[in-house]
Amino acid sequence: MTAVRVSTAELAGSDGHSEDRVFAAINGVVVLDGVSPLDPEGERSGWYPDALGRRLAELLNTAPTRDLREILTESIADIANKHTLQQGQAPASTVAIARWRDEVVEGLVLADSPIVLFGTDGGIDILRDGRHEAVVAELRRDAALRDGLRGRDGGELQALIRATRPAKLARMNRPGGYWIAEATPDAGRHAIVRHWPTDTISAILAVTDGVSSGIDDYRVPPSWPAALDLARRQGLDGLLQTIHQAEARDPNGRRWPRPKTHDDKAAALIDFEQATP
Amino acid sequence: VQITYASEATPGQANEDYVVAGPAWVVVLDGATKRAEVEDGCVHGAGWLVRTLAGQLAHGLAMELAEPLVDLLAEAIKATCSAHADTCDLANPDSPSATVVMLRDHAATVDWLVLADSPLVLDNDGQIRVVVDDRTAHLPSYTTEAVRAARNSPDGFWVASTRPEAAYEAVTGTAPTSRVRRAGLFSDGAARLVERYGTTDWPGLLDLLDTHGPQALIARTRDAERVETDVERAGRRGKRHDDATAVLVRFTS
Repeated sequence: MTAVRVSTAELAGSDGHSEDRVFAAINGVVVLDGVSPLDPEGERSGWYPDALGRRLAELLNTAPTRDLREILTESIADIANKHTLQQGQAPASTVAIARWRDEVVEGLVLADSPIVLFGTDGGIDILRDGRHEAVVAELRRDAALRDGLRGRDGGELQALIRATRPAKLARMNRPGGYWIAEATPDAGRHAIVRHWPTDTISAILAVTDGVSSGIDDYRVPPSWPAALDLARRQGLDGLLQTIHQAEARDPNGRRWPRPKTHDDKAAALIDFEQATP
Repeated sequence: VQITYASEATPGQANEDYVVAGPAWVVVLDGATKRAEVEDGCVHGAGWLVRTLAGQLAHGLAMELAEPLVDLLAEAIKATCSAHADTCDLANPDSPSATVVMLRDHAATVDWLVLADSPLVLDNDGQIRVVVDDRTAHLPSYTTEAVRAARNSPDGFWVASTRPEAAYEAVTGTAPTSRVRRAGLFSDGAARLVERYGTTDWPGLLDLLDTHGPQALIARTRDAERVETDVERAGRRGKRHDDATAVLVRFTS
């Protein structure tokens, strides 16, 4: 069996009620970023990513080689049925799953929680589902043209998010739009999956966008290798704290426009023991 | 960065591969040849599709913005759709399609994108990394109907055609420029020495490209195609010849 070291970390955002979750299974991890219902504007609560993540971890443990998209589809269906969720009015969640075996490492992403694979050759593969971000960018461009709305700071961005909410809802879980775990089990089939030979991988980071925006937007830490290095030296908590502190230095989102000072953060790190030659 | 390439049609046919490059980026496209019995709803064809996509991608890459390659590709597909939405039936599932492989050196970082079966081979400090999108190699069936159903569908494979979201299904990666020595981009017609004939492996193909150049690599592929017997061909998928495009990217430190 491949020797791995798994660590996980969570850090709540501005209001202290995190909707991000991370779960570790025997040979996999699940990272989720919950979204309160778009319509009506729901209360923040992490029950949905919590329930979905637990179900996913259960299925990963009971069926360690089953197709990841099947596992996701079934998990979404189970939670939707149990709580009679209504499409468009239910809480939603991104999903990132990384699973490893002796021969193969598999990744699955649905909406904007990426998985970063560090190769033994220094190369990096980022498994990312860009569809959510592409839809958001398109709607904001339209809103800028039509209504003159801009997103130059936190306040403007909040107004922009409110104004584009109905249009975004109309693109959720539909072909040509974006896919996310909600009340539509079929979204599981639309997750983006990939696999790698295990012996080419030295580490995996699965994170919510509260963490990836540190590297992508604030450049704190400045790169993914720097993020991995920091996580190895100071632990995953150290990585999350570093990004949180950068946000605290820009409380109103002037330098890095974002709707709230601190986004929720969750991450999992899988470190593969290097075979000694 | 030094970029060298060659692109050659199937003997006697129009080339449906295309290559476009700038000082520090390159794109290879391979248009899918239409089967004679298929009605694709397009007045242009695969050659037009790869040239239009190439032009759109070149536009995005030449701007040297930091935009991710997947976004550039999604935009290029969208623009290509608008370019023939008035004349062609974009809802036709057999609308012309193409594979895409892109490589860019920007801000001390090399990033790449592979969509469908045009492979990329990287030499990172002597370690060879092969980037393939092998979804087209694992279809349950290759009849016209089965391929149509699998094209741009979650359980099948993804290509650049009429759906911009296909871009987000591409295989992507990145490496610090300081680590990358060489890269080879191939349409599947130029990867046959590895994938079809097994006369060499991926490191061997990259060495051949580096030592003898893209033209010679294609010439050797044609030689192998000519000596393939009917019995051998019956056991493999695909035609005797194929359009072939090979690109060598050399990084000088």
